[in-house]
This record gives sequence, C-alpha cells and structure tokens, in this order.
Amino acid sequence: MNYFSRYRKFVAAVVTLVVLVALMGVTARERERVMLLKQALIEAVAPVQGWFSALASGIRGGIADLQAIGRLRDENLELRAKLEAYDALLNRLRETETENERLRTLVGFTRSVEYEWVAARVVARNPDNWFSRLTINRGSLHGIAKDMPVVTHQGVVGRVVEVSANVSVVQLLTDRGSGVGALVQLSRDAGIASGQGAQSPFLSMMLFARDAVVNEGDVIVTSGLGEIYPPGLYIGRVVEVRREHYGLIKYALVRPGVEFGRLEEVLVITNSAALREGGGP
Amino acid sequence: MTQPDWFASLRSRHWVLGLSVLGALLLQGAAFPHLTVFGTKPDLMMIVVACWALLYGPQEGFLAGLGAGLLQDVVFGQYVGLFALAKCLAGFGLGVAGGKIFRESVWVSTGAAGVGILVHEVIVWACLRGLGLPAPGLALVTTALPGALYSMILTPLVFRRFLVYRLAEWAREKEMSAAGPGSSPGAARR
Repeated sequence: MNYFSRYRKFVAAVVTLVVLVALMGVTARERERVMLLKQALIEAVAPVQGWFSALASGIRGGIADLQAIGRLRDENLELRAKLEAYDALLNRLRETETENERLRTLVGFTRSVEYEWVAARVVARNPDNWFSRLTINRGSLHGIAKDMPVVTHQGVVGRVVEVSANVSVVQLLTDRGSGVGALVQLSRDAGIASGQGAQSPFLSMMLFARDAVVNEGDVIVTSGLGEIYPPGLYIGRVVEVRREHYGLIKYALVRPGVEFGRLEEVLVITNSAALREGGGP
Repeated sequence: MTQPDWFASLRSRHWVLGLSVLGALLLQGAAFPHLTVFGTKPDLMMIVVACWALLYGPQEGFLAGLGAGLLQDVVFGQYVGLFALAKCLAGFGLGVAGGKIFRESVWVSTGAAGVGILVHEVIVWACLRGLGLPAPGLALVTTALPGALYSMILTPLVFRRFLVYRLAEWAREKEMSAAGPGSSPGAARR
C-alpha cells in the first residue's frame, strides 16, 4: 500500500501515456462517423468558432479594404475593360455550347449529370502545422457524407473526412495524406497529385508514364479514376517538371488554383458518385 | 491549509487554466490561421501549456498538456491521443526545467518554452511516423522547426504581457493567501 501510494503519480502517468498510445492506434483507422464525444464537442465548439472566424475575417477584410482604396480606381477601369472582353467571350462560348449540344446529339451522347452541391462556410482550421484540415458548418443533416469532394470556383479544395450532424471536417489537397487522381488536360497523361504539407504551396504530381508529356503552364484536372472526385475538376497549373529516381519517375510541381489560406466559403458536391459513373457533368 | 480552502484554490487555478486553454483553442482554430507566415502558424495551446508548466511545475505541466492536447485531438484531430501525448510530455519536461532555470527572466523562459515546443513537434513527428503516416525527415526542418520558432517568438507576449501569466499569478496569490503567511511559492508550484 505504501509502495503504491509512493509511486502512484508515476504509475498514473505511465498508465495515461499507455492509454494515449492505445487510443491513437484505435482512432488511426478512419471511421464513417466520428465518436459520440467528439461529435458532441465539435458541435458545441463550432458555433463559437464561427463567431471568432467571422470576426477575424471582418477585421482582415476591413484592413484589406483600407489598403485597397488607393488602387480601386485603376482596378475599376481595368475590370470594366475585362468585362467587355468577357462579354465577347461569353457570346463565343454560347455559340460553342450550342454547337457542342448539336454534335453530342449527332453522335448519340446523352447529357451527363449536373452538379448538385451544398454551400458551406469555413468555421475553423486545424491549429497545428502537421495536418491541413478545416471545419465547415454543414453536416449529415444537410446531406453531406464522408468522401464527398469539396470545391470552390477556383478548383478542388479537398474531401470530407469526418461528418457530424451540423459540422464536417474537410481534408485539404495540401495535406500530406491527401491524393487525387489527376490528368494533364492537354496531353491526357495521368498521375496522382498529392499534398506536401501546409508549408508548401505546391502539390506534387507523380505521372504514371515515364514519357508523359507535361510542360510548365499545363492545366491539371481531376481524372475521375479514384473513388472520390468526378473527372474534369480544375486542380491547378504546372510550375515545374522534375525527374527523380534516376530519371525513372516524372514529377510535376502543381500550383493549386485554390488559395487555401483565404477560403471562407466552399461547395460540397453531393452527387459525386453519379458524376463519376456518368463521366462528369 | 484546510480541505475546503485547498479545494477552492485548486478550482480557481484550474478554472484559469481551463479558460486559457479553451480561449487558445478558439483563437487558434478561427483567428490564428490568418496569421500564418509561409504556411506556418503558432501553437497557441502549446504556449499556454508551456507557460503553465514553467509556472507550476511538472505535475501541472503534464496535466495541462494532457487536457489541452485531448481537447485539440477531440475537436480537430483524427488521431485521438496524438497531441495529448506530445503536449503532456512536453509540459512535464518544461515543468521539470522550470524548477531549474531562472524563469523570471523573459529570455530564459522564452528559450525554455521554445525548446519545449520543439520537443512537442518532434514527438508529433515521431508519432506520425509510428502510425505510418507521411512524415518525412525533411518535415522536421520544414514543419517542426518553423512552428516551434514562431510559437517561441509569441511566448513572451503570452507569458509576460497577456492573460495567462497575469491570471496564473492571481490564482497563485489567492492560493498563497488562503494557505496563510507561512506558505512559500514552492507550495503553489507543487
């Protein structure tokens, strides 16, 4: 008894460490839904995080507005010119779309499934430097499920990895554990684009073919070969091409289209399975 | 010290710690991502744990790290226990160091906190490797070191100027006044 009371703190600390290691091992496997306690805590904390996040964005937006006043006039003129150019482009696109529809009908293609999505607001990000994840304010009650792709108008953001009733956790493309089937849009050479951690703004795309044709500036899109992302979603542009492992493997360094540090709203594609089967929208 | 007094002082101290950790968690998740420098953000929760461990010793450092880490794991992490393990070990180490260094010096306490935070990052890296996750050796230089340095730079603000230190001092004074005139600061750190 004396022996135990003398060393009880040490024993308690060792037991705690053992339990933590065991817990880590148990929770290392991905699950469809997060644990009950975890779910309850995430749900409780998310609204407060949302207020903090909105406040921080407001302050940041206010500072950015003040800094931008000087160049707004020039930017306005430039945007007007661009808008006129885009009007012309839009007309040409309408022409092309009509022609495309006509040709599809001609060769017997049916129009693929349209995207269905749920818009969500980013309420928090993981606090460490090892994972790249964010929390959004939509969950299973809004039709979100695990492994659904998350996008913005700038391109692919990542995928849903945890879902609770009103909140979901998204793993970003920049996370070291993320990977997405990708294609060089022009040459149609396939590969896997994976994250290199939050500190690197680039994705590393390993190309399957040694003689794959890829150049700086090439557009990279999703291939639809995995089980998560539908084909044709914009990932980013190639900034560098490398050969590694004695020239046997070709890598492309890809700058993602999405500005992950500035994400405030995202879209979760809820019909990605149908889109994959249908070959994209 | 009578039993009710001891409990009352214990509660006030732990309330301070609990609120500091919760505040750090909320700030860290919502506001600090906007303060990233080259993709690196400071670990505010670890700074709180470091301050606490330096002020109150290894046992409190261990418990503060355990609580803060578990909260972080449950709210943000996929691997429950990962940050709890790293934070409680780093908290314990910092608590031991706190008794051996001249912690009243901002420079010494900041340096000690920096080393503790780096140890925390190295433990996380080792655990990730142990779990078979992609954590290359280069990540120690690109992720662990910048993260620890950034957090260390912010430590004096939290330790000396901001709430945690002031509140901890307030809680300690309350404890000592409850313990009576014969009590020493060491009693509060136990």
